[in-house]
Amino acid sequence: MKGVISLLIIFSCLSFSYVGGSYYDKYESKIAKVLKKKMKIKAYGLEQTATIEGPSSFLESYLITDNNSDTELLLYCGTIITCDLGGCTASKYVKSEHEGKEYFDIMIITDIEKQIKQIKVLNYFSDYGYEIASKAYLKRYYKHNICDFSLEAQTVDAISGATISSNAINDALVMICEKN
Amino acid sequence: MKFLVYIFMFLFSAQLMGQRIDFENDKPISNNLFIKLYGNIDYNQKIESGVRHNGKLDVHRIVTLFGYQFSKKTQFVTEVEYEHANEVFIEQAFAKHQLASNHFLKAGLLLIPMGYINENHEPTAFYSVERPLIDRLVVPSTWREIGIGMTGIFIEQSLRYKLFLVNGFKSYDDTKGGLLSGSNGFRSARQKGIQSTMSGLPNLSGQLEYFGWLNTKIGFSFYHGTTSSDLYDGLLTDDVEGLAAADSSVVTMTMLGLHAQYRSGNAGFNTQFIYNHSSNVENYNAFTDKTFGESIYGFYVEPFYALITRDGLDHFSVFGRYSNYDLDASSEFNAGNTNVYTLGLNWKPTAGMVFKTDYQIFDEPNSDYSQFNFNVGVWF
Repeated sequence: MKGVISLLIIFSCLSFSYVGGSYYDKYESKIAKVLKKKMKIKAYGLEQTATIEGPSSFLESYLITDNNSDTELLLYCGTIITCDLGGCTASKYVKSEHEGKEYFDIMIITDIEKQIKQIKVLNYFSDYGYEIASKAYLKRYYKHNICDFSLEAQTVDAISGATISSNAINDALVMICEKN
Repeated sequence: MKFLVYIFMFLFSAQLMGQRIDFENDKPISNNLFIKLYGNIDYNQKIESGVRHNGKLDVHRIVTLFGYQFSKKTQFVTEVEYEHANEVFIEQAFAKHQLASNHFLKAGLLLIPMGYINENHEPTAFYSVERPLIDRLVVPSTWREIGIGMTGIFIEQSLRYKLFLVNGFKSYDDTKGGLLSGSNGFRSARQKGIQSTMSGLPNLSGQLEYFGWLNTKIGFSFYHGTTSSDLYDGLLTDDVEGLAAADSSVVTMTMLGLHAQYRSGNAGFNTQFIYNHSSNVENYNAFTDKTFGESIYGFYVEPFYALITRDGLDHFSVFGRYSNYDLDASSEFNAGNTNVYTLGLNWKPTAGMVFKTDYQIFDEPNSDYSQFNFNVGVWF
């Protein structure tokens, strides 16, 4: 019984780990790890340049400057709306309202010309469409420019069983290109 | 137990007070109640040489999902199922709360993660008119019980996990007697959240699924525990005879499942293998006069091909399935090894709607017959 109560308290303390704040603040350690391991940037400066909001996503954009070189990168991190609560019905485009939708949090790192260098799902809430979090799928976005994506055609094919989430990433990239 | 519940509720309510959906600072939450629906209306025609059979037409199920997103971290989902136009059940009713990125607490009436179809059983999620027989007779879909546990994703490893403690099957009822049988396995022993009982420890249910290869999923499911019995309720601890009877009214089961899905271009396949072993079956059958099988297994292989695909939707598909199952693979009450061959077509005029038809050949130990099936299914 004592063990069960202890576990309950620990679980609840874990759930207090994030309340409010920016998406960068929420995922700072994960973002720093990717910058260090994949982009070889150990120490960097960070400047938020904009927030980009569209019908199905909300992203913060940052300029990252390597303290030890001239390298500059762009970071986009935030939330992308995915299936309706309770599951997906395979409609191609996500509806426009934010509230009540399931979501996933994502980070995208590009160079200054917006060529995608890294893309990573940071948090996936829904029980559906999680296949888009696999590295094998996300690698297909690398070396594409953010502005290669359009609403009319699939630059990266949707993944089987995760069509809505795949399209949601596509639409978010289109929005970044249009608004940033 | 009540004290535990109060602690849990206090801690979660304190957590909810600090949450908001933070798309814009201080934007109030609205429009967070959702209603969805899935259902299928079926026609089944049994065809047997020398025998007439009536066709059956049925509003097989209409399931309404109600969901409420309390905050970005917390939701409640329930499904109310109407079966055969006159039976009402609750299919799911769970609270989900995010404890850390990609890790969630789930509690309530939960779908048991065994195989693939039990949790993904909407009509647009599988090809045949009826759910695969393995997912009716071996995995008693829709299998749902009350429990609590964790679910989440290890993103770096592309692994999805679920681990729950749930109440188990009820193998003996005071009024109905033994509920396990050789003809339908565990199906009649599902408690479905209807005044469920738990005689001893909760059962353990879990699944691990790997999704790291493109368009491929491989899953391993397990379930272990002892069934429940009304005979334990009110039993005096020094009642040796009563205890012996109660012990004879339960079995301890271990069910394992493997499922895999693969797609390349327009072609692919689904496959599933489920095996269950139960102990104390000899005593159970002797006590209840049933013929429940000590070993139960089933598997199927299902290749498919999307003939017409547009905008990510398979508009027209053809599929085949070979199923084999045995509800008693090991004892003298041999329910028999059954083969089922299925061939069918799916037409999806639009996302969320499917017209299905298939033809099945049943090769059972004591009979051979076939069946024509047709249905319309929706999920929106």
